[in-house]
Amino acid sequence: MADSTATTAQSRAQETSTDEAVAHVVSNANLKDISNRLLPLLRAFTLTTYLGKCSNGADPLDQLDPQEQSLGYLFFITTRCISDLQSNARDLLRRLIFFISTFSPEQVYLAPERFTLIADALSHLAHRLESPIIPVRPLRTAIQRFCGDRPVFTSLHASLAKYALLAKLYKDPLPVLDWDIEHVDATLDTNIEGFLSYYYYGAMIYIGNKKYGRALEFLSLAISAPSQAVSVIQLECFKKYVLLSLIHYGKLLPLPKYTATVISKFVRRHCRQYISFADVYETQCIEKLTTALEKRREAFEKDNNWGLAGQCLRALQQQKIQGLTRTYITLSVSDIAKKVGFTGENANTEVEKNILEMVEQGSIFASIEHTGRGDHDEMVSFHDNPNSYDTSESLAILDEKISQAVMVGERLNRQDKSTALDRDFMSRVSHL
Amino acid sequence: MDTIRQNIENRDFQKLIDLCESLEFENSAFPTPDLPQSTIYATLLGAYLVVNDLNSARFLRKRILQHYKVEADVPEELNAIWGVGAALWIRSFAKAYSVLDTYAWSTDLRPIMALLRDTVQEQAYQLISKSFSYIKVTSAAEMLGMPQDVVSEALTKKGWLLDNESQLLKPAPIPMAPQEKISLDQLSRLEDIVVYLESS
Repeated sequence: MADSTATTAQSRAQETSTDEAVAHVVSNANLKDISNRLLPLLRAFTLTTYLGKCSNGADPLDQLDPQEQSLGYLFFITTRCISDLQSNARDLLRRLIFFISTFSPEQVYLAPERFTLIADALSHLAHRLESPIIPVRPLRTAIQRFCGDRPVFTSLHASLAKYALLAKLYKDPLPVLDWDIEHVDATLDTNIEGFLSYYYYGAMIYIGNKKYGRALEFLSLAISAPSQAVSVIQLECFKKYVLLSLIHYGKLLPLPKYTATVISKFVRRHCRQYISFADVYETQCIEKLTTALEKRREAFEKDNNWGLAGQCLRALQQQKIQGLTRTYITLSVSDIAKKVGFTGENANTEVEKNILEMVEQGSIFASIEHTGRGDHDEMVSFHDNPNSYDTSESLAILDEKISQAVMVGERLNRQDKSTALDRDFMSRVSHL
Repeated sequence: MDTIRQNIENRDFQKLIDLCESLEFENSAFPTPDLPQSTIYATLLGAYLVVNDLNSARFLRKRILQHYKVEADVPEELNAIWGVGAALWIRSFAKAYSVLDTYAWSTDLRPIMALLRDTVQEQAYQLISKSFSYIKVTSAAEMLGMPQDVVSEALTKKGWLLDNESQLLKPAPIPMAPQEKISLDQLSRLEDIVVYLESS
């Protein structure tokens, strides 16, 4: 039955003029009609129908209201942005942006595969207008309006992160990235490749913003995604995961327990360079790490990880300085240079720079004492953290953390319940 | 342009940054002849530096290079502002002051750059007070961007001590911001939570 309606819709669509198409869109006003009658037609209309003009010469986009007739408008505007090279690109962009800020989410929900095309539409226009930053903000708005208050994974998430990286816009996508996803639904035209790319690109955006903890979360989500085979994206994720883990935690964190065995085995085999680099890091010897870094230069550069790898060295230096504060009260700058392993002419200046930076970040509490007798005998005294955490400010932070934890607990509870009620899950469990 | 000026006058840099970020997008999507892209870039780059958001400044620099395609086409002033940013990125105060003081900034940009000099100086001042128990006059002069003969006088006025013989300065302790003590309300809230956690 469904098949025969589709074929009749198709044969009818072949002779549909743009006028008729517009008439169909206008005449189906309630959501049920739109879904049952209009949608099959829209899916069957051909390129000529979408690219044509009305018989009175009017632009069909002028005949439709982006808010009332969102679904019809979506089909027209996306086809035109992608295939129509005659019209004015700026005019199309203006209409598309207006559509994104006004569309009715419940109509657009009916055709997720068309919603996906918004990314292609924006990318085409950006290419024609030669400005890579164009897609980012509209994509962000599209995702936010599509999701409403439900953190759903959409087919645009990966594109948002990708175009943001290409355009070097590292701040704009954060409102979407910071919002943890709870629902992944394959009927929304999403796939595993989009999922993995989103978390990979997203991690790179967080790395750019120097939010390493969050970047690690993103990477481990991609690596531990359920899989039967290994994706190249997961392999690249693991490489960055190793380096970031060293920079942020000073050691290689184990992968989540639920990581697929095929993945943990595969990365162990194919990322030997990285794993052995982590082993060297854990010996805490600056000299060895420097040699290890130089030895792997080619491999790291090929993977575009040279910059991150260099930061590991810096991280180890700072980690060692921090270690000194636990043992010593006062040390001279040249002693620190010796103990940490700074070498070369600029060793002392490097030490001072690092200490200033760490004091500024609040990772150590120290004061440098110039002595005026020469350049090489400055002293550094280490102090305890002066904060006794008894102010209303600290309590407010504690309070916020508790409410956050409560909220996560609630969300987990909800998820747990809905999983337990899921039919597929139940049948799987009862078979075991 | 007027809103930009107003935000600079009010020193509301967060607002200025939000405004310029959306203008950057608007203007590349729908260029207007009366507001050149370079003005937006210059204001935004300056504003990022004033709020010490070097990371965003670094990425804006990359977008600028992408926009002009060839480095030679980037307006000289944009390069000069980035010169300050690049110096701050490698924590070289001396270099930052030298660009700030030698470049002839355009009228529109002058207020931001003047303010930037003040904030860099203030930042250096805080850093010295926090992390030095004694500092050489020469080093202090370099970090604060002041001539050596002026720096001792200016700093002793702020309560720093100068040892004439060794030419060392002892920074005055930073007055701690008065911190609010924990209120009863907060305590009872915490108590509720602890009781709840113990019982569950």
